[in-house]
Amino acid sequence: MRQDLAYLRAQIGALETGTHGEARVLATGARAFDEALGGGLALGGVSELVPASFMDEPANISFSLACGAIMMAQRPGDLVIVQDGGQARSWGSFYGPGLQGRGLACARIMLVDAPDAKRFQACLEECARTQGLAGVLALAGAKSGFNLAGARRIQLAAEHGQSLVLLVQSLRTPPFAPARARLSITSAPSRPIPQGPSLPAPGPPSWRVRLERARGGIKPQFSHLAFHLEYDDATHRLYQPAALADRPPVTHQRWA
Amino acid sequence: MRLIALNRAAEEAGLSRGMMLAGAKALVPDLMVADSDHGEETSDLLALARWSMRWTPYVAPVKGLTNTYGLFLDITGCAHLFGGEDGILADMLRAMRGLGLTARAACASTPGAAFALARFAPDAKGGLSAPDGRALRALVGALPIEGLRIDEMKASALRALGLKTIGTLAGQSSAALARRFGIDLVAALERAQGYEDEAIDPVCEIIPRRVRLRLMEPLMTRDGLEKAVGKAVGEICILLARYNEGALGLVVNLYRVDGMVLTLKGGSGRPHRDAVLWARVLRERIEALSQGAGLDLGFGIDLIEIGAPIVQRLEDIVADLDPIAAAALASADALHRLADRLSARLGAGRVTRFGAVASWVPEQAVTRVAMCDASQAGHVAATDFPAHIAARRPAMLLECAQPIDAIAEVPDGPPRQFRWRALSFKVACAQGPERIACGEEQARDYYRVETGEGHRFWLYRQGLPGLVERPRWYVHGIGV
Repeated sequence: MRQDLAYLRAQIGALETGTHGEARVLATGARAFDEALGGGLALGGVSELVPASFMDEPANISFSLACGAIMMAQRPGDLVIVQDGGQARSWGSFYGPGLQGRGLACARIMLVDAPDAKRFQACLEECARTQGLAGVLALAGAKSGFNLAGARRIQLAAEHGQSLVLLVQSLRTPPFAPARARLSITSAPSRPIPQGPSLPAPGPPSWRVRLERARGGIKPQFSHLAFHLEYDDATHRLYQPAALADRPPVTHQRWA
Repeated sequence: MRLIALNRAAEEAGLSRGMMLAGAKALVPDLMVADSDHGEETSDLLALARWSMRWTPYVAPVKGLTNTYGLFLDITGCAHLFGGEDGILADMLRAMRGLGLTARAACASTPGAAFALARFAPDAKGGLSAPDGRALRALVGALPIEGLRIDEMKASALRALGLKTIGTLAGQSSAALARRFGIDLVAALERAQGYEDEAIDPVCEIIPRRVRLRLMEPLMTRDGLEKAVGKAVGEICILLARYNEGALGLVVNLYRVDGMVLTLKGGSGRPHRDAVLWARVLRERIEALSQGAGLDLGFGIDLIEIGAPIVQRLEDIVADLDPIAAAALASADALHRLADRLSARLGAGRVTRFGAVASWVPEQAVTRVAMCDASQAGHVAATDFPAHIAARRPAMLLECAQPIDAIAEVPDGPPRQFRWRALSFKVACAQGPERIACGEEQARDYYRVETGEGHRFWLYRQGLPGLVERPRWYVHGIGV
């Protein structure tokens, strides 16, 4: 790239994000995925997680929880989970022991149940503005889409607080315009763990993550990249399973 | 049916209390009557009692009498603020008249004497401040025995004996009176004559740390209210600083000029006395209330009282020299401020942490603990769930388990295929069972299963295989 073009890009980038120099990121551990994102999940910005289909909404939420665990492992402070209570909780509500099993220590989680979409947006702005949090998970309902001005407010608040906001969209929520990254999540079968003659046990959770947009990351023409990611709950990191392991699941018949 | 209360026009028409309704209608054919509603009247009296706390914190309604409404106010140490006993009585009567109530007031050394004088002394219309000792007994002695707060049966029995005034009753031997009418009558006599004091039961808890702000002009606007509350907050924070204490909650009572009291409550997760933060929390509260149209200022607010019901001693904080520890401290501080503000806006129950409960039943093992609820202060401890249980639980739990049609290995294997919400799933991986037994019928065998597409569920079979003929299957959690 020509040097003057790069300089102009950097200037525009600084105007856009209000930060000069390098944007700060949080590495997730999966190297190729981080590089495509431009180093990791952006601090001081909103990353958007969207499910690829209706049945992928649980996978979307569980991916966001894995990211939450990564945030809590790498950053001090508490994780705030903001939920839009106006939506029907078709997938149930968060369950403390399960969260702890994934590495989200319950003593460091604050749950905020906003009664409707309007107050959900106000609470999210308030949380994004707060400095010193590990991160903010926002679970949007179908009706809690942001208009352009509202989305910009959240973005500015996140820049002010240098906080990491993950916006977990439901299938019908309209897209969040100023998102730093937009990831489309599909559930993927895990690598089963054989256990004697019966059915194999499910392996570590895994997802197929498609990068739809990444500001400051990989160039747009290459951005429709898909990654197969797994979560390691011992080290709180995402990783890409080795290509050798990416073969059709071992069926139990071989052990019968 | 009898008349129990009249307005001035009815009195001028010649009606009186206790008259039969039929007789009254015969005298005044176009008389308007309404049924008495005891519950409403009692709650109105309580509201009036709360409003009367503008004169003294110790206010109690008169109890134990039918169709007799009165308030006891203990004005010890308060009268000089209103220009002495005569001044405070005149102020009370003026205020009650402003509310459209006919009131009589008297002030004496004991509640019993004050009651008798207020109700039956002719001077009580303009406020009667009674002397002590012999002069008090002379004043009370001339009053009818109803002034003793005794029931009507006893009063009519005494009247039948010719004992019509407190003075004549006091002339009798108290032993004889106790034998005939019970010891209560003697006690009532002692109280009315100022010999014996009596405890009253105040309507509100007494908050030692409180500040009141009298306003020259009634406040009508929200802007003004926010400013005035901010000023009151500043004053109570100065008061708390004097005792080196921090508040876990603030209660603001707004006295409306028309006899109503509005209450605002703000809470905090930990004690502090930062006036800016408290003002912000209360402003959120005002905003939340006015959105729900729950804050009607009416004709204005003329008195603001702010109290800190729960206070804790604050130790002086040493600014930490270690930057990491200082950052952690600042971060915890920021979180608590955020929690306080959001709790004020949404209600304390909506800003929570998880709390562990020692129970094997999955849906009972978790509770939500409010971040800033003064009543739970100190119970909010960092709780962890046992690790071996946490590893096998789902991230999302359904409010109640939903029945599914499942095909499982017989007799007690994991499910192979199931239908949930009109979708069919084929199980590829399964782990279990984990048996949680709450009685034989209710025993559950939990399985973590994953479908071929990677959807993860937490399923259970209810009833032990072999004991129950057709066990039922349920889905209980998602994303296990």
